[in-house]
Amino acid sequence: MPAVTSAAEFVSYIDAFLAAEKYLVGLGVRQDWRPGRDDGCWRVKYPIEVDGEQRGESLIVDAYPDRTPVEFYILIEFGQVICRVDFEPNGGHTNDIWGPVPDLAPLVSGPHYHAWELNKHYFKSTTRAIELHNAIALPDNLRRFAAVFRWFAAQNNIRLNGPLELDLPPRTRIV
Amino acid sequence: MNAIDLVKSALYEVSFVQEAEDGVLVTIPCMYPSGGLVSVMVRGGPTAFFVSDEGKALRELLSACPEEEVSDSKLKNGFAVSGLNVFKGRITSPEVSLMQLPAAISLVANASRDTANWLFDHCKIHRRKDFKRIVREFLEKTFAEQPLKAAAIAGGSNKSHKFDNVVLLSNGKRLVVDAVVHDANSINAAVATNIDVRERHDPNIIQRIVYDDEEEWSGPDLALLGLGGTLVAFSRSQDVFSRFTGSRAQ
Repeated sequence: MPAVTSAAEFVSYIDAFLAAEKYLVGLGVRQDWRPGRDDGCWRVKYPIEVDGEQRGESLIVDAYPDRTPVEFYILIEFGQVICRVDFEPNGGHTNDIWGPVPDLAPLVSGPHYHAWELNKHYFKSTTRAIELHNAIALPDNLRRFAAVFRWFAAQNNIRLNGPLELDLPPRTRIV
Repeated sequence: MNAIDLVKSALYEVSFVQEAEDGVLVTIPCMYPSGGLVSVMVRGGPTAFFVSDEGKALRELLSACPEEEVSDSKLKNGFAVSGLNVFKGRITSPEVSLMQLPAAISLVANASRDTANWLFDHCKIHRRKDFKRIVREFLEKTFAEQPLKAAAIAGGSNKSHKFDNVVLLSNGKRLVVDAVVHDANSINAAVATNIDVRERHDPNIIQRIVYDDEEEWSGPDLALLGLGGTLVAFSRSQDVFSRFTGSRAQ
């Protein structure tokens, strides 16, 4: 990532990054899930390549296979997350209805997507993490991991060449 | 519907109770920093219960800063309520009676939200950036009229060391700028390399080590790095290196 000296520069960089055609390094290779940062979490991480270069951006999937219903998160990060799917069937989200993005649904129930375009206006600092205040509901037909993953990739111009060699990790605990 | 019914109906959208696999999920009309609704899991019954945030406060942080490592003891800093426990990232109540359950739900939910807020406020972004490229781009702009190139320089040991940034100054001297990131390998390599080059005792070589002062450097780390030579914090580079440009020849 090039040097950025202001939030505006960072926003411009991410706008360009998301608009560019991207690939996930190692996507066609079977991935090993590894323990995530919190209990019950399993994580897989793909470096993101643009124009043949990997500059440190990654796509991360955090999955909680022992939860019922299963929950998972798909995100793009540069050390902080810039967009994210929260697949929480029993969850909910309140949007910033008086904020800079008009016409947002006040509440979103179930799985939802925090898009960069809905949240970049909050980016005011290069040293503090940005809160992704706004989200939209995932389309109703997206209820399986592979479909959600493909949808997220399409939303962010990530080309998935070939079959997705990735499925959620198996449960680790007997119900 | 009267006003009360309308408000109740609205409230049910942000406050509800659902049966879960091994307990009851209670969602309350409160939000995490991201806007996610706060919820707790109640397990047990009919006379003794446990309430847990199921690690949601921690998940809030990880959803923004996925590489953060947070211990249970750190999580405890986020809330002031006594009596709650933290175990494997989950904020939990002790065993409570049916009479205590409403309070326990409220306390755990609030502790979870407060902790999420606290974690977020204390989250440092680990911005991974190509510091060496940043320094090179800066030097290319600063020394736009002087040749900047990578070069190999032999040290006092006669071992050849490769430097990415060597500027031929207008007075004929060479300015060698070594960009260092905050990890042991980078530090050790920079110290050894720069000490060896200094051992040439060549008056026509000027060495500077540039470090990223947006990272947290301890005193000992900087002292160690300083064994290699004169240090320049990147935030001060403009002031320092402008002294070497052609308009103000050394």
